[in-house]
Amino acid sequence: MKKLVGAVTALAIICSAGLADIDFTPSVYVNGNKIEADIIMKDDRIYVPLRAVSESMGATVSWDETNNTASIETSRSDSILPQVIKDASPFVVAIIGGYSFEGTPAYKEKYMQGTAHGTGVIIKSGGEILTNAHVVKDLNNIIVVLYDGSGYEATIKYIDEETDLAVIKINRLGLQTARFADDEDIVIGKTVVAIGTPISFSLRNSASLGIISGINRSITNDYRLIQTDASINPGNSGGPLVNMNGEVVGINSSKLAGIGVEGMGFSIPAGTVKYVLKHFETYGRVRRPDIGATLQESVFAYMGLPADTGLMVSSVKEGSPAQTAGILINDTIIEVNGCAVHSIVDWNEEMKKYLPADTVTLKVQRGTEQKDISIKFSEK
Amino acid sequence: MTAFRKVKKGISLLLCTFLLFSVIGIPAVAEDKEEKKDIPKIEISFTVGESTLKINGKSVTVETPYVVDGTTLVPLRVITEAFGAKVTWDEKTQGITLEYKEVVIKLNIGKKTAYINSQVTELLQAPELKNSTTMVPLRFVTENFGADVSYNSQTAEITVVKENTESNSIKDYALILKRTTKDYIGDSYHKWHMPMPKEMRLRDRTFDGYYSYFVSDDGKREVMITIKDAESSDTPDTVAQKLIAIAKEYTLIESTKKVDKSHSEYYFVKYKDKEMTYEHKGYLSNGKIFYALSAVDNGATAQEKQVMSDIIEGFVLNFPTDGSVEDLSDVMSDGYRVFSENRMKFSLKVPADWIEVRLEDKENEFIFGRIQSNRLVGRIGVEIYSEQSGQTIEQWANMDRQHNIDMFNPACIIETSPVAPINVAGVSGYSYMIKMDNKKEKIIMNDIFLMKGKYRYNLTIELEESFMNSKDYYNAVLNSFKVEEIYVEDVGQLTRFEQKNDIFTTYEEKNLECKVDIPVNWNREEQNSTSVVFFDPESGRGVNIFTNENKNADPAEKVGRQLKNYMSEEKGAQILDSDDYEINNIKMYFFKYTLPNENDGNFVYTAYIAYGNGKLYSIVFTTPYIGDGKETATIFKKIVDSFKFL
Repeated sequence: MKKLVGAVTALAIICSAGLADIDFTPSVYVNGNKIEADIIMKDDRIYVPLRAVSESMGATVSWDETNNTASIETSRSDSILPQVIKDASPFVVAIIGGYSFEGTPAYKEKYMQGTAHGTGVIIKSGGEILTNAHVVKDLNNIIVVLYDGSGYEATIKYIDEETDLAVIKINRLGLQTARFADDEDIVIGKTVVAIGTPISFSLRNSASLGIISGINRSITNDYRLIQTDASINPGNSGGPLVNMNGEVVGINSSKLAGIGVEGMGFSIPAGTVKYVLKHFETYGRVRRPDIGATLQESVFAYMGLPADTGLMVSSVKEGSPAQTAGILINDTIIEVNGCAVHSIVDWNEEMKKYLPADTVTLKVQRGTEQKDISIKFSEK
Repeated sequence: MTAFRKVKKGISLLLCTFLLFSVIGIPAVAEDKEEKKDIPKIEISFTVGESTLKINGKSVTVETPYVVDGTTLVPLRVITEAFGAKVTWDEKTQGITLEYKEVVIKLNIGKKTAYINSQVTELLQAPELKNSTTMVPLRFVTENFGADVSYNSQTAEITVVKENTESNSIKDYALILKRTTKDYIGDSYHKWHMPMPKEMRLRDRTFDGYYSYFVSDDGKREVMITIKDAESSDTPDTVAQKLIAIAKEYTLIESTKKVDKSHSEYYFVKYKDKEMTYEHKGYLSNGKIFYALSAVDNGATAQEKQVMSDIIEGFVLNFPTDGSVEDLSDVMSDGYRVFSENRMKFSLKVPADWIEVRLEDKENEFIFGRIQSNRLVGRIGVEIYSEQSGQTIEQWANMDRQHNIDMFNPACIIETSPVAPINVAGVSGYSYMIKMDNKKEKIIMNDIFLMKGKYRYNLTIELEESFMNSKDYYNAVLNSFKVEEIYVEDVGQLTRFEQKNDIFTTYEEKNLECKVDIPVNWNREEQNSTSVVFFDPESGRGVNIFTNENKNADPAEKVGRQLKNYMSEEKGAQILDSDDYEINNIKMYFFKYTLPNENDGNFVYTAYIAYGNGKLYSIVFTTPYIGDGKETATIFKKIVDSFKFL
């Protein structure tokens, strides 16, 4: 710093000789952004406003008048993470239950029970908890253990296996609920923490840190997923992926992870969660529009390569909307109401916008021709 | 009671507030107390657009609820009447505070921000005043009070339901997770118990309780309790011998008689191999032999090994009724246990001292039996098959009955009933009865046929008459039979195997220089170069073909008669039939006989004697006495008629 000060001083002397209105206050840049605030030069030292520089570096400044003290806190994960986890923990629950091994005769059921566990997120203070469908589907009885250690029996209120989401309910009021992030907040690179009960039930409310590694990912799933490198183990299923604002960006599902693959966990995005919860509330289940035809994506889409090959119709059911609309086998559907569909996931994501009985226009490629076909959905 | 009427002009604000409080405050509290006690189930139901709602069974007329952007707003009164919630109104902030159990909801007229127990949240629609009535979002408030809200889009009816029970946290996880908290485990029917540490769990057990298998969570330590019916010849020494014989296969550590803490004698062996150490004890008591065996990985800690030793040492032949022991027995007070099959969806009572005969890999056949003095004195069988087009249940019953009549020795059949309708498990079916005498005892066999869903069932109850008369098993079992529709998607096709006794295959016996046709499902066993046996394990039928030197080259008719006389005079055989027989240009002589004093069942033998290739051939058929019927005769004739020399 000394050299710079020297140079400035020299320059000031040179310049002060004749050009009094030139501004020689140094400019300070933080990460390429100029600080727009009063900067003072005194005794060869540059003085910058505390708040302006700190906040531009992402730190927070607080002023304690009583003690005449200013405190700067850097936003390194280290200091806000414990708070994020602490704030989130009240709405994260552990789920455990007993299940019967397949094909067990009744007389063995009494003893041959396995226990399985997962995690859940409280979504309604009146006792509703969101988790994965696969966590609760086969359990004979479901127990929810809250952050305060109390346990309650739960029943399944809604379940949708296709998205792997389920809502269970316990008889307890006044619970703290989770807030879901907006789609715009789900950005690659943002820090997230997965909270849950990995491996053993005694590891309740464990946290693992990572980033959002990818969005719009899908491997074997029907819908798009968030990819993260936060550890997601089997017991984490149904638990939240939380951002640094304490909002839930996704619901973790270990079922979707590749076997033996490290550093790649998957989460059901908040958008899909909201879609499913809306349907649960309004219809008691997810009502999916159907055209009654089997669609096949191209091998490129299947492999995850960029593809603009649309979806090929491989079969049309008798009496289905597809048949009524005149869709034929080997037709390729390229667009739904102007939105491109090139994979099964694209199709499923598009279908979220519609309900059975809605009418849409499909852009269909038949040989070299492209046709617009109007179709009215039935229900899946 | 619409509490928030706009007050008339001129009355001071203070007075209004006072009036409001006096109107709401006191009655609300009174209502509150009353409602909390009485309502077991809170229910609100109404159609959107109507002003009369059903609240907890009463019809109440209020300011009409309406929908704003998908959110249904109802008068506050609906909430207070249904839940008995306490309401406080802050005129200054236009704030409503609702209290119900441990929930406090804070709302403000015109504001979407709300608080639930001080957690801030955003409403989809703000509460508002309509005609001086405060309207609040129905779903938001009631769901936070723990209710379930449902909307019927077809009838536009909304229902809000809540079971008004206290939130009760779980006190006893054991009840739900079904893992015992007791320190001991045992069987009150077979009468034994032993210590059971928390990390050991029951992993397998037979229906009859004769075998129980426990394993630790890490799989390295196991305990097996095996019970066998003792033979009359068994003594404590034979039990000891059995244990010693087992221990001999390993490295022996200990072998001695011991006395347990309830002063019963038992034999104890301890042995090991490279991986595991075993402690094995055996008792003879009350006509049963009890074995308790522990197997512990040699790498287990000293503490773990001690715990396992304690289990074996603590295994005793009694069952305390002080509640300290987890009871594995599912025998009911009437002396039966219920066998319940989840996949095949049937259940029936089986007497407690009957065992289940496990058939490997057969998921549609179940057999239970009672063994007494080495005899099967009772048998219950359940067979399940898919429906068969072209064959009604009545036809199936008749076919089965005819098959049995053909199969059994007519002399054994004492009485038979024709196929008649019967009602079992609430289902109409058909049944028939056959009463048989197999020279030792009389057996009554009842076969019941019925159909449920896509499957048909054959329930067989077979009991020795003396046994049956002493306990009314037949009625108890029959009346206990329950059946539910099986999921076809789950179980699939179950086809009944029709015994094809008319498909034969040719065997060329080079050593014996002959060839013969044998039913395809029979097994072949070569005894030596001059004798071969073919037999059917299911029916007990068989044939033994063997050759002898015939020095004198006597014709078959002569030798045959000599043999017959020999059997009759020297062996005491009872000759049932005999004659010359010729087939395929071979002259034979046959005689049919039974032997006296047979310990393991009565058999009927038919010997065909023939001469050829310089040898004397004996073709000896065997069938259980009871099976010596038309079917057997047909099969045997076909075999002998196919006999040719090579």
